[in-house]
Amino acid sequence: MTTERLIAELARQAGPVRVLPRLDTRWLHWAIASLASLAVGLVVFGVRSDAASQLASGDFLVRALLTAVIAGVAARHALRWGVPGAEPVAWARWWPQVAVVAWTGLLLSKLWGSLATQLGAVRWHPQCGWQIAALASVPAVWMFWQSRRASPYELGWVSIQSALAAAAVGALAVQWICGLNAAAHQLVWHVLPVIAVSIAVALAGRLTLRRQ
Amino acid sequence: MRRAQAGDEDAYAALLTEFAGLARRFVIARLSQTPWVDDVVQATLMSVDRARHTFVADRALAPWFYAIVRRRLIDMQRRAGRIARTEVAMDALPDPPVEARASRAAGVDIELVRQALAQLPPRQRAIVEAIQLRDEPTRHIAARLDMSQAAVKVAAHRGYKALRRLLGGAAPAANEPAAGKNQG
Repeated sequence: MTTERLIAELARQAGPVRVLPRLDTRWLHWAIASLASLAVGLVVFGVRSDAASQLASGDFLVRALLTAVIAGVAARHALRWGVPGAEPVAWARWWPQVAVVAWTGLLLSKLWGSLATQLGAVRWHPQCGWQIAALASVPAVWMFWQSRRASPYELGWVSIQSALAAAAVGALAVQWICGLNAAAHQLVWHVLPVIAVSIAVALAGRLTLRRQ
Repeated sequence: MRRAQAGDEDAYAALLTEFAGLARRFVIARLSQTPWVDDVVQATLMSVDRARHTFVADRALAPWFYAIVRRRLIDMQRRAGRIARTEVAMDALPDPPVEARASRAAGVDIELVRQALAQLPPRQRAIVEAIQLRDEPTRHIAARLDMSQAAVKVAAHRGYKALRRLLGGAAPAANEPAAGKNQG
């Protein structure tokens, strides 16, 4: 087929399209959906009994802020990857992952000197992991649905950032549910599930994007 | 672009013509004249068509368009690299072995096959010809026709069935080409 004929064919078939909303609008919609999911999660699983006192804890607030930043930045990056020409610049692409490393580093710094002992003493507490996975589902579905509406080329980037954003929302919510503040517990039952959920959701999400 | 998004056929044709020229210059500037400049241009136009709704009026058009061209160029370079690694270019096709020619010629009315092929729907015919006459891998056909590999195989299978029906069930089952072997 010649290029001229292709142009004529595409123009002939062209109907009006529904323009994708602006990035800020889509990000705001995702944030609202995620907050709603978080609120429902808190109602279903119950807020930790010492939630009010935790608001005065710098450690708790730093962790909450880190997970919120991971979620927000990863979501924004994922949405940007869906629009040609709006992709994050090369040096900024890894910011969400860098924030995950910072979160892990923060917890590891608290275990410094007794890492093996404290990790060995971590109680079996898989419900944190399941809750993170459950609470990540709505933000993940919303994000991949949005990505399918856009026109992503780098499916790997879109998938991993969407999945990380969703998992971070789950972790943020679970911080308000789980009453265990020990760094070893946070590392094993909050950070590792976020990484695992991110990988699993990214793989599944990538498949859905490839099939569009 | 806004008019094209609203469905204005003339504006869209003018925009695509402009884009085709820009894409051609972009590719030639980077790779000089290669045999697949037109392939990149056409792939770009099809991507522009698919991504038309992602352009937001308050953003510049150039970064949006050149991101698409760059992406399609990279895809084509990768594909060309893969082909260069696995295939050898030849000016003329080698002659098939004598036994093969003899067995093919015996009992097969080439004209009848041509007529049956001509009766297939265009896309089905293109797929059958690509697999059987040009020995093109299904993933290449899928990329070229903007289909999934599975869809190409299904279309090929339906094409073979239709051919067998058109030829009055004359084609022996053993000769039926398997689309799966061309996954390359």
